[in-house]
Amino acid sequence: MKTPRLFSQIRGTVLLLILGVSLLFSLNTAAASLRGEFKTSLIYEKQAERWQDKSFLELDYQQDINFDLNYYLKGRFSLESYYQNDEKKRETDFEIREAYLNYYTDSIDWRLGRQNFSWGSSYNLNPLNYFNPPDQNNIDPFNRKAVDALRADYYPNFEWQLTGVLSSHAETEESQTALRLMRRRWRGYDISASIFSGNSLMEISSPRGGYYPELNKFGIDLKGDLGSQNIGLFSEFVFSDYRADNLENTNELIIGIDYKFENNLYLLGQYYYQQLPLTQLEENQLLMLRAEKPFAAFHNWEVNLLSDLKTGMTVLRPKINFSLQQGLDLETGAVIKLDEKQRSRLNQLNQEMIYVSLSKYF
Amino acid sequence: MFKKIVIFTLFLSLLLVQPGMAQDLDGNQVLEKLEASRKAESHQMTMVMELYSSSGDMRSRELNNYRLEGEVERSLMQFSEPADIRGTAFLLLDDRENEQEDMYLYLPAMSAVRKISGSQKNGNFVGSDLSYNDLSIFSGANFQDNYQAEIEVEDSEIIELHLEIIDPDIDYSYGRMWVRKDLWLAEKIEYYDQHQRLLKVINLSEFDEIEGNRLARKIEIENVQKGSRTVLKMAEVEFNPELDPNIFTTRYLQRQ
Repeated sequence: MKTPRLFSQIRGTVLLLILGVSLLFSLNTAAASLRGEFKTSLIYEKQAERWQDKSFLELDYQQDINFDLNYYLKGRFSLESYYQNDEKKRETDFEIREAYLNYYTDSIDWRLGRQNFSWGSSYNLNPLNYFNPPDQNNIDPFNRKAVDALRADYYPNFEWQLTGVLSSHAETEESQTALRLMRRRWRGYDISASIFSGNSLMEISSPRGGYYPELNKFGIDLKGDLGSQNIGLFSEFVFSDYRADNLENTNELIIGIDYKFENNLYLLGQYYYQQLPLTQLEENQLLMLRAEKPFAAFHNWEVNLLSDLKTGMTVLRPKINFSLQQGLDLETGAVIKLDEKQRSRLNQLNQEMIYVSLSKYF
Repeated sequence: MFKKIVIFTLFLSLLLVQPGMAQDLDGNQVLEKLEASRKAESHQMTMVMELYSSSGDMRSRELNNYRLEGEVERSLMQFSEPADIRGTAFLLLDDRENEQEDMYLYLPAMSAVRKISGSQKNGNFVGSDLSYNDLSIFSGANFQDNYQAEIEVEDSEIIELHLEIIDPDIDYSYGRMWVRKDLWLAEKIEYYDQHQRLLKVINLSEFDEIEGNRLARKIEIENVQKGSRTVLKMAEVEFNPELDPNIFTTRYLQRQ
């Protein structure tokens, strides 16, 4: 189903609708909430040998029109400067990052507009997120961009949830469809199964240029506790059936555990196996470890380690967050490559850098 | 004259016996009385939580807590301040009969509900000096499931209890509790770590009674080993409000 214009029309209509509704109800601020974040970061990229100054002001606004209807807007104004070889380049941008209407009926919740999906229980790598592509402009390589979509969640009771999605592909604007059935609290586990029909989020290179191949996907997800020690166990599995003859069907599997100790140390480990549709490419096998702990009352450190088990390359991402005062944070971190290998997929995700950021929340 | 002496002697012995009458209770019966001071099957509270570091720096949080007892005990906490955690919500569903506990977290930045592992209850509650199990102090949960108590000292106003920990999820070696006999509420609790060293001192004050339910409106927790402390103030309290069970669902969390 190739209907890119349909989504352009939906997007335009939704934005107009939200803006219109905001104007209509702007006098009624009783059920409204506005919050924001100002963040400025200084980044040094080792490979490009350049300094970057990234700043943004992000505002989000939510207003209840009545008990069953509300809307949400999140916009970001950003200013980015690059300094390289005595040259300076400056870019400004304004982006509506999310904008949607929520409408609630007795058993169905509707959401229409630009939105994020959080399908999949694993940490950061979520093959079950069929819709939101990685946000390349973010320091965190696992951040994703919102897409225009219509979503309906049907709740026959607390335990069951059926979700239907009609969305636009982030790059091609072709329509994508998905259905997910979730069972919560089954012997301590939340389990879901989903099907998807649309285009891959992964671009395939060809002599005629890159493209996003059509495919069907089938996915399973689970999250629960293992044993009486309450060790968290999660897993995602996705089978992709590519329509093009020159592409192989693929499997992706993530399995992981997490645990928080009495001293507040949080540990997470997950293994990711990913087959690739091009036969000449070997599969990826990644190991991801994460440790996080608060210190000195209000501060926090975390270390993420991502290791490519096929090539031996590892990326280390240490980070420290200092809470300077209420709502004011100073964050400093780095991306460090160990035993770098050109053919490793980790090169696409990360480039070596150090950074320091100041965030103000209000 | 002899009659007068007999009456005076009887009166005197009554006076002497009076303070010891609570000695009829054993430690576990004192815990029962503590539980009985909170009869409500549901509550709705707005709390202000002040966190102080050992150097005296302070951060505050404001949260709403809803609790509903039943076959499945349900608790919902929503943070309304400060801005960086505003909208974050925890849902806890404790099915004691089937020994199943489920926890869900709603993060506004992700606009998503996530199931979190039971081990998230280890460690501190949202950066405070309280553990999740300490929350029972102000939520009125079942003391008798957590402790076995013995009376150590008693006078006319206070009973001092030694608390033996019987819940394996509680990571203290033992505790001591001072109970006010006029209110049947704890006014001070001490917890000792696995090396039998004093770890936390909890002082409860500003006692109040609402519709037959007694509570401390101010709870101060000091971690004497770290030097940090947390002050909890119950700003608004309502007992037995008509809470819709549907608010204790992931669907409701998603709607935040």
